[in-house]
Formats: sequence, structure tokens, C-alpha cells
Amino acid sequence: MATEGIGEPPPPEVLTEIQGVIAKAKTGDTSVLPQLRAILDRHPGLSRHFGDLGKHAESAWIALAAGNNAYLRETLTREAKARRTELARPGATPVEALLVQRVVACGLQLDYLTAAEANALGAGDTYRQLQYHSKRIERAQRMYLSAMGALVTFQKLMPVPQVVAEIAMGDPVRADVGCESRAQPARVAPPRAAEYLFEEEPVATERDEPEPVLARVPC
Amino acid sequence: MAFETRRSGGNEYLYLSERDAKTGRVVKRYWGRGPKADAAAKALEARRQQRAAERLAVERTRAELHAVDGMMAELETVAVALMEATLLAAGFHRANYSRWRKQRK
Repeated sequence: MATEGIGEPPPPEVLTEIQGVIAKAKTGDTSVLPQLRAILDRHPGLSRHFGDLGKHAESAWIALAAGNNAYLRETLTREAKARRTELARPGATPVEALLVQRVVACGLQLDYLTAAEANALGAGDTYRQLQYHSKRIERAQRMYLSAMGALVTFQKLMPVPQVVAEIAMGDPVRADVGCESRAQPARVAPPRAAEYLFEEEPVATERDEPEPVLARVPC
Repeated sequence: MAFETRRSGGNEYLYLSERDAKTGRVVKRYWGRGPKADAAAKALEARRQQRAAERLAVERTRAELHAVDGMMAELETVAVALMEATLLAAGFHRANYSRWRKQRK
């Protein structure tokens, strides 16, 4: 599968280093946090590189699904783009864009595998083949839900940088975030993925609780 | 389940080797001789070939998806690592796979 054009890959030890630091932080060792921040600052292009990898995965699923059908390919590409725009907040950070990209790729994977299973049923495939398809679908569903969960959590907890949003909100080209926009937003945009998942308001977190109103003290 | 044919006195005898579920030992069972044994052997061979073809078809599908599966696995690992790194760096923590919370100072 082609992975050309996604820029210089970050050295593999960077990811190992990050994972090592995360493992330490998960045990409650907060002393590693400055080191973690330093690694992220040292490699700002990390999420962008892997966001591009997500785009390649997306293209690969589209190519598998569409085959030689150019119309289907175009339709699926547009659909994926629309889903990216729908899920990402205007001025999303590269990490958020990467998470959105992961959701879109997982969604395409699930769609492809579901269609493949339907085709297999129609073609009268054997029990063993159908069993393989259903296992793949189960795994793809888990991946999709996990990707959605990660995105919702991230959007709930991390506000978009307090810089612009007006630009991204006003300009449809820049508003189409995904990996292509590098716009620096301004407004704290609501978590879009949560709207996508829940019909009603998502459950409020500690951060959503209103600030306590201070009583006025007479002078 | 493998099968074998023995020759003795110019006759063919069909035996099948199978593992005994109780003792766990491989035992050979006699299935007969003559046209009935031939038909059984043919049926077993056809079933073996069909299973091989099914396995091949599944392997082909798996090979088709191998490259994109690799990409998805890498994407998942990286996305999770970067998300966790960003949240930890922003002062959040998560104990025992519970919700992410702001670290108390």
C-alpha cells in the first residue's frame, strides 16, 4: 500500500519514548509530565504526519470498496470529506484532526466490511468465509466505537486554542479542517462528535459545572 | 482427520486415524474395504479439498487487507498515544481506565 507523500516519518524511537513516558504517567508519576511536554514540543509535526497516514488508510479503503468504479470512488471520497468536516471543530488542533481522521478511516473500514459480508452472503460463500467476515466486522465495530470515544473525550476536555475560530467559522474552505487546514482558531467550539453520537446533551463533566457565584460583600 | 489405506493379501482396508477424546491418544479405526471403503475415501478426500479451498479463500481475503490493516493498526496506536500524551501534558489523568479527570494540585 502506498504511503508516499506523507512527509518525513518521525524516528520510531519518538513514539516509543512517548509511550514509555505515558506508561510512567499512568502509574501516577507526575514528574514525567515536563518530559512529555518537551517531547511534544520537540516534534510538532508528529500528529500531522500520522494524520496523513490516516488519509492514506482512508484512500486505501475507498480504493478497495470502489475498485474501478470512478463514480463510487468520487462519492466515497466526498462522503469521507463531509464526515471529517462534520466531526472536526473549526480550527481543530492536529491531534484532534488525527482523531477525526481515525474515526473516518474506521467508519470506512466498517462500511467496506459490512458490504463485503453482504456480498459474501449473496455469493453463497462457505461457513468458514462468513465466520471470517463476521469476526472482522465485530473487530471493526469495536475499533470504530473506540475511535469515536477517544474523539468525544478529547473534544470534551480540550478546548480549541483561544485564537480565532472566526476565520475558520466564516471561511468554508478553512472550516473544512481535517488534516488540510492549519487554521488557528479562536472560539471554544462545542464537541461535535458528541452531538453526532448523542441525540440529547452529553453528560456534564466536572469541567462543565458552572463556576460558583460569589456573594457580593457590601463595602 | 487423516486416513490411510492398508494393503494386505491384495485387498485394501481403510483405516482412519483420530484422537480419542477420553484418553487423548491417537487411535486407528477400521472403516471397511471394497467399494464402500473407496466411496468413503473419495468423500473424505473431497471434503479435505473443499476445506483447503475455503482456507485459501480466507487467506486471500486476509492478504488483500493486510497492508491496510497494518496502516489501521499503526494509526490506532499513534492516535491513542498522542491523545493520551496531549491530555496528560494538559494536566489530566486517568486512573484504572476510568474517566479522564483534571489532576488535583
